[in-house]
Amino acid sequence: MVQIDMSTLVDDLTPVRVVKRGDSVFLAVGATFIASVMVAVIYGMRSDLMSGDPHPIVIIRASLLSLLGLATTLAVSSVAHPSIGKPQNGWVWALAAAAVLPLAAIAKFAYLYASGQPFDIFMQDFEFGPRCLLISGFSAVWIASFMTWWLRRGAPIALNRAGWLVGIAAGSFGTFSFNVYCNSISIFYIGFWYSLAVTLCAIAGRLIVPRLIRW
Amino acid sequence: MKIFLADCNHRGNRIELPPENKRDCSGNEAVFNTPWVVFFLGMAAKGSHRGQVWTVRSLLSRLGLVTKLGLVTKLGLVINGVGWLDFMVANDASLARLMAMVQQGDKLAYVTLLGECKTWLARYFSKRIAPSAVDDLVQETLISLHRKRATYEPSRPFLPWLAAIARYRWVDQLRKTYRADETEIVAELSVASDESDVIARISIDRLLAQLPEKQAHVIRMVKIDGLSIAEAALRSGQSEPLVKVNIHRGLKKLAALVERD
Repeated sequence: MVQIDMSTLVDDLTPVRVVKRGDSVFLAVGATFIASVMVAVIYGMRSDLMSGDPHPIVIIRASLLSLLGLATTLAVSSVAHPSIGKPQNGWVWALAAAAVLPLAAIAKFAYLYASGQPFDIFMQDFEFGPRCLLISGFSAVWIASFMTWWLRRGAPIALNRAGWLVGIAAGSFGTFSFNVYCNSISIFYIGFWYSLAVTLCAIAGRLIVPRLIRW
Repeated sequence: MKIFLADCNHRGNRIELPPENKRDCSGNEAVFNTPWVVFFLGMAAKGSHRGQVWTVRSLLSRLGLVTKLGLVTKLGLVINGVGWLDFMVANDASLARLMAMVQQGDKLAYVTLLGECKTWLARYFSKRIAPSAVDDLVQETLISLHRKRATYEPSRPFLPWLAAIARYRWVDQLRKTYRADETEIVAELSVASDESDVIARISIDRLLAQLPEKQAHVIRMVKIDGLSIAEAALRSGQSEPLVKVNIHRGLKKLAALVERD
């Protein structure tokens, strides 16, 4: 390797602004807000949201997704600052809370299957699923690009973990943006397509982000 | 306030110091005076606890004798030079303060900080890697420290931050080794003689013990004992491709183990 004298480093020293943890949250929330506005402008907004009286399941899914997004974003900000010790694992609890949606869908599906009831309700809105993936995915890419840019300014030492976290955070916020437009209130739809969107984003984050943030 | 100090050891006898130790942090010549050194040593002799050292430092600061860490560090070097304890080794709080000054562009503080970090890193890596690789890794880590200095938060401890960067560079080097599929061995490692070599060897053995025997065996033969792939295949009874695969898998696991530690 090229030998660099310490005096070179000293000569190169300039004042720097400390990379603050809150910046990542600010960026992610800002990007999510813009993505949500764009979704509302392009595809429209749910009528109950427009009227200020959203359906309870819309509030629940939005709360769970935003909680998961915030918790993972906080974990991302922690990853960007080198340290030794117990990692921030609050996001795991948020993920467990969000897992309620697919678990509820599975429980309902099992009940219908066991009782021999028809799956009409299961298939309702199901054809709109790919649209959910597409819109959530585009929003997630937009949000993840900001988070990745911010991570590059930091010094992440656990690259794979950072990749997962960025993927989950961007997926959650991206799906949250889609939620503004999504007309379905079916637990099957939410449990399957929303979970699939977040999972695919997490996998994409794990595969792509570490390559971009290596230093 | 100008300080004149005389060069002397703990018995008050005059000693010859290298020129760099006669300079204070501003580059001015500093002459060590016997009563002062006796005073410092008296304070230090009360205990080996580091807190007492910084009691001395805070006393000096109150007296207006220390404006930067440099002077105290130089005194530490002098005392180390005559065989005394390294009780003047900078503690985390001091390094954190220095780093905060560095973030504001203080070059003087940076010189001191880099010196302290270099010593700390050399000690850190000497227990983990082959002695011949220590200097390169120390330098790479110092460059990383320079590039990522904005990620240090002054309200948090400094050494864990530095240790995390050091570990990242170490793991990165292991990963590069794994990817490069090098078969050359660093000669110094196989003829370990001094203490740091032995410690490095013990550390590597501890890691290898956590691998499956076949992987550890071929890594030891090729990466440590310096055998070729063909020789390792002959001795281990494994085919050459299998030796390569086991080395790859073993090094990958080693990198993961180090990362997890």
